[in-house]
Amino acid sequence: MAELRVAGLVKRYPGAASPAVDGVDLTVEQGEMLALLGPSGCGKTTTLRMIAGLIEPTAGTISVDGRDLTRTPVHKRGMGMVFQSFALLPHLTVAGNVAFGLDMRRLPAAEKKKRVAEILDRVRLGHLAERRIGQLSGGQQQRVALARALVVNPSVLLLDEPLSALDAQLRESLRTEIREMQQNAGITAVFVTHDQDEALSMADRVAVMDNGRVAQIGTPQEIYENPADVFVATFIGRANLFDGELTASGVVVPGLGTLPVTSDRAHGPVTALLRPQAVRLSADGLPGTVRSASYTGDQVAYQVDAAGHTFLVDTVAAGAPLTRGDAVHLAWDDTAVRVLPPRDAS
Amino acid sequence: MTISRRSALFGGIALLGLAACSTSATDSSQQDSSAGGDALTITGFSGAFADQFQAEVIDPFQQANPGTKVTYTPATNSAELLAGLRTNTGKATYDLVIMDSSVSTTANAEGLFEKLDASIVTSLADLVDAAVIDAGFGPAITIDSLAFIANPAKFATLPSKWTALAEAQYKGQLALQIADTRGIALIAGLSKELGLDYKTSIDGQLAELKKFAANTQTFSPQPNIYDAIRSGSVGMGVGWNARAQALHDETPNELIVAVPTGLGVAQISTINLVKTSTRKDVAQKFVEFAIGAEAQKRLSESAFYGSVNKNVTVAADINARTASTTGLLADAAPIDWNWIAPNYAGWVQRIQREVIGG
Amino acid sequence: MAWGLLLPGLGVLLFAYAMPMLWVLRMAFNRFTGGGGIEITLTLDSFADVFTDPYYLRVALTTVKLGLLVAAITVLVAYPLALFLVRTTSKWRGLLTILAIAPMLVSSVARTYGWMVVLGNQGLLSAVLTGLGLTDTPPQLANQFAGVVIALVQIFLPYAVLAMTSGFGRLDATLEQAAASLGAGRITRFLRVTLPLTLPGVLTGLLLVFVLTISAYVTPRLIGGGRVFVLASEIYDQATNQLNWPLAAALSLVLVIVFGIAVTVFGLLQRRVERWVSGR
Repeated sequence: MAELRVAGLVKRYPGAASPAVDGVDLTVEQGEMLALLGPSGCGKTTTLRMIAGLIEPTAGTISVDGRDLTRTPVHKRGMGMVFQSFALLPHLTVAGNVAFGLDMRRLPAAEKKKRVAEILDRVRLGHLAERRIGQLSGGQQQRVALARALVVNPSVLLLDEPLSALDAQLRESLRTEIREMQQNAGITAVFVTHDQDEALSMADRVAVMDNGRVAQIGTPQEIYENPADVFVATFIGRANLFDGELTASGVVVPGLGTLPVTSDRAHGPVTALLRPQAVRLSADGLPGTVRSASYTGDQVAYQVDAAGHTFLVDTVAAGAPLTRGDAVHLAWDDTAVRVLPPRDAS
Repeated sequence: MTISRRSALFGGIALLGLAACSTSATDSSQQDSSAGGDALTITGFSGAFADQFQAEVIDPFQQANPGTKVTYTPATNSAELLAGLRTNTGKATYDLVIMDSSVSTTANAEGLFEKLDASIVTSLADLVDAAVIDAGFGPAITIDSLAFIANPAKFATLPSKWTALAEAQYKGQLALQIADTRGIALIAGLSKELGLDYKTSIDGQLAELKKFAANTQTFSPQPNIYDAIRSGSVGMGVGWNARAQALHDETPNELIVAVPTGLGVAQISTINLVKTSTRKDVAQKFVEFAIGAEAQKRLSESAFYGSVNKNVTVAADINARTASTTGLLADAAPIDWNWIAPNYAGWVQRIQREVIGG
Repeated sequence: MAWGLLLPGLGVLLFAYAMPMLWVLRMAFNRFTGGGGIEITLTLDSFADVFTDPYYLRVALTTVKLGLLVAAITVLVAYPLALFLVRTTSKWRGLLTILAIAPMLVSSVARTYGWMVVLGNQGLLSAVLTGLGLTDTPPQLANQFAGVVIALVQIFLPYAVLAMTSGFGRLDATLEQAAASLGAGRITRFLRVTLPLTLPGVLTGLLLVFVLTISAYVTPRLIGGGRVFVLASEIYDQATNQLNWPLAAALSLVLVIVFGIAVTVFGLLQRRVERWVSGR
């Protein structure tokens, strides 16, 4: 339980055109869970592995509670790590895997046994303690990996794509489970994912990474509602984006007219963002034609052609959905419009 | 001995590589094409002997008999030749086979070879006593003797008795390839020197060999005893006189050779007519040429083999260096290869276990 | 169907292995009558020779001792090499692997002669040792058991490296990283993770080198100075020098039995270890 601070972290591989990680600063408060989110190759895993000590940084520092760990070898960092492949030792039993870290800490046998039993009960695997790893399901293996990382009371828990090897359904339930374990233990945690749902649902704060840099860091709500740029806006959720010109009266979008919003950005080219949920089908407003409708039970996602643009519109399903060719009108609150730096600049 | 219809069995062994049948590998088509003509195939020792035999016997024979094509195929050793003969009982691969007399007596007994026709091979009447192994069967083609060989840089003089090999000066310098015919010959030599009879027992001779073993660096000099001595990796050993004499002339500073006086041991190679040969007339004509005075004189003078033909006389200095009955084998240690043949394997085994492995 | 795929291999095995082996089996029951003569019969004479003669017991023991020693040393030397080749992420990995197994391109006979040059008492090694003034009496390695061991280790090293690199499949860098993250230092990681997971490869390497060693004929013969008697050279001697084919056949069967025992023992071990490290 501690505060993790990463400052100016850079990783440059010899021969690579650009650095894999290019100056990352992060602070993870005690007991907080931070998600590193981004597309593959954005540097999120490299960042996590540098924190763990598995990769040596080119520059920058990593410290826990003010103690500089940048040059401390991995096995002396006292962090816990859950790997994407779980990395359970196949030649040991479930209990053997969980006890591994306690062995390293030379715990007395009785104490060790007690703690292994406790943690296995907490992940509901007490009855499988003597099983071989190969006899477990994916979800069970995931829980062993989690128990193994947590049993040593690590200062920081690091999770590398902890759920990506699992089925979609299992992923959902394990999300809650991991989150609960982390919160109950009050442990500082960083986890890497490329799945925005996972990041938004599990993390206290999310750091969206792109090209080795942190594009934006904030609570899931901040990130979703006030994305810093077009990249974040499109990576988190779906977005209607309109390239236009910011003027005193709002954003002038060709074909669409002026979206009356205020912004403290400099006047000039901008991109306007309108989330699909913010657009309504209404009796009057911007006339358009339904291009497609995709029905998912509780929701209908429409694509509507209007004013030379294609709008994404998410509506709560009520009655029979509209079909292709139906005429509709679109409306939205002006306050829902966000002004982002222009697409080209981001 | 009941030797019959075993070709399949032996073939199997051959496949395993226990007896790699280079001897049976020759394609028969070349023979068939000239079955009626004068073509002859001969097999025998490889290496220097093959070159000498080609130059001193085969080439002159072909000159004297134009139109007769003689092909010589070298084999690894006599035992392998015997194995090859047994696997090819149905069809002749070779017309003539040159091999150790200790092996050819076995082949004679097994009926693999045939007696020669004295009306074609008239020189049979001119053979020295030692050249007759099994009367009527293939005679000796060369006579050689066991000899000391040494590197003069290490040992300037050669001993005059076999037991000298036990002397301390040879410690770590001896190469004794004795788990074969050389060991048998050495036993015969020691028998005369020590006044023992090998037909009664070889215990005393083996006890002496054990003393030599303590001085021995290798029982398997590589690539062979002569080159091991010439390179200086060993200093002293026993080998065959003829080959060593020829090598001494090539490199007098690297190899010297001597047969201890009165203690020479005859080693005889025979030339044999294969029973299934289809060209026996030509083959016997060749034997007649090979044991004739002209070819034997050549073999003595250029390769230092003792003549098998009594009518041969060579210059005194050459005679003194060849295993002839008037040269190095005068007053030689008696050796009865016919008697030894059935005991050969047992002796080699005892040498291997009691001397080398002891 | 799929079984048809086995036919070519099965055919080759049948004709090139099973049939000759049957002939060898039959030959072993014939009687040797001296001077290369063989009586076709059914007798246990040759087996009696082999099993009652302490000499053959000694030869068999020497063979097994040589096999175990060479296998152990070779695997010990090959292990770090194989581990490096499996782990390295260098772009030269392919080239390095080829370099490691390149000696296989040179016949073992040629390599044996090479070792004779190095180990001979006027060879490279003794010249270096005396040249450096380390000793006046360089150790006698050629024409000795020790020389045979040294040469065989070098000759079979590439085979061991190949067998082990392919047997190290279970080794996964993240397993070692996981152990490290749990507090295991370099040595602990090796002992508790790397070693157990590479054991199947180690066993494969041991078995392969053992089997190759006990059937090796050329190297013991050329470097052993004629005093290192192993089953293979004994079989050769009996077959080609003494013409005692029944005995050679009986000895061949003994060698086959040694093979069989080795393969069975290693097979059982392998299965246990495999099950252990596979986590099932």
